[in-house]
Amino acid sequence: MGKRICGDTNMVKAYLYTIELMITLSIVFLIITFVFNAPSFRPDFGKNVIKKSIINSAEYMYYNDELRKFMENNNESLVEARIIQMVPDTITIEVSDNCDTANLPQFLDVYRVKYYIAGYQERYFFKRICISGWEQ
Amino acid sequence: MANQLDYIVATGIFLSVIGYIFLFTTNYLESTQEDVKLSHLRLQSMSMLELKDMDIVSNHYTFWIILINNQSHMLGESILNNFENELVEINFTRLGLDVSKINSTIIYNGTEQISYNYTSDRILFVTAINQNEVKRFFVRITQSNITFSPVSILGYKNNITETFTLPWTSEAITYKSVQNINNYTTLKNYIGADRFHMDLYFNNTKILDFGDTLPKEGDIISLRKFYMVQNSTGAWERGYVVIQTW
Repeated sequence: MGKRICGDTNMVKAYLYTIELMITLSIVFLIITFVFNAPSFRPDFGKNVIKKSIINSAEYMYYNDELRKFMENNNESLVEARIIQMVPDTITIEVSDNCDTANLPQFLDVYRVKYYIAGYQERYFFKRICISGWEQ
Repeated sequence: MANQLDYIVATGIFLSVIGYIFLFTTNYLESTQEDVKLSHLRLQSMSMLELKDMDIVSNHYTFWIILINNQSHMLGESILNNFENELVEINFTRLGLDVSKINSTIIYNGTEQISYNYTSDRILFVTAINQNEVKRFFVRITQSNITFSPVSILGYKNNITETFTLPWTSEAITYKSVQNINNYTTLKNYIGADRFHMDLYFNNTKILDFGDTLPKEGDIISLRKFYMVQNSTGAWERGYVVIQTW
């Protein structure tokens, strides 16, 4: 009878140790989860490059007066062709004067830069151009 | 025996969990360190692409002159006619432009470069213009040391009033500023950069190959930016700079 009591006590102790161990492990995993809460995937620096490439290309065209000249005649295709020459080959460019989203991809990150033009030579007009870029 | 088996299993599980945690932590810290390094290099390349710290890029002023030969643009008593030697005058003081660069000004009529005469603050040139014709001149005041000799103009008359557009500034690289780059260590310390390599192209021809030799392995960040460039003859072309950091 006494032996049985001793066996029961050992079993209770074993259960307690098991629970203790499980609690300890849970705490360890919880700490790990909180410490490494930040995403472990690598940040996509390419997005910055896309945006900067588009801005640089548009700025270049502004400086040499091509952007105003082309936009006066609503010639977005020429603007697009020029920008494609200047951005990395991996970037796809879409230029639109009404800033619609019809030709943009649905499941990729797209960067869009808007440029405003107020005239060309002695002629005044208001034009807005949207230059979108994404990496294939 | 059962107790020993339990200990072995428990030790195995313990070592597995600790090993996993160790691996996970090391990988995480390594990739974070690599990302931070790449981010730093990319930022450095982007900043260097602007070339401002290197004194290679300077601001230039550009504007249009529009000459319209119709009745509403006639000056004083002038009568609408074809004019062989119509005077065009750019008054730097009135336009608020830097007179010290007056002889570095370049004027184009289409692709043709126009020769001009100049005084302390005025540029003068002549052009032929027919009745009801519109002529547009593209004027660029550069910061380069390339200067143009004045040409004498004779028998001119000012019949038409000119229209000037508002000057806009544009960034450009001049041949002269590129020639000033010669000491890599001095430049590197001056701009506070790590190792870098820079290539400069004028119209797809490499005119500058400058900096450290590229490593055979490892991460290299390479970025490109287009600029307007003024070559050794003073003509304007398209150029670009490639910055590589590692």
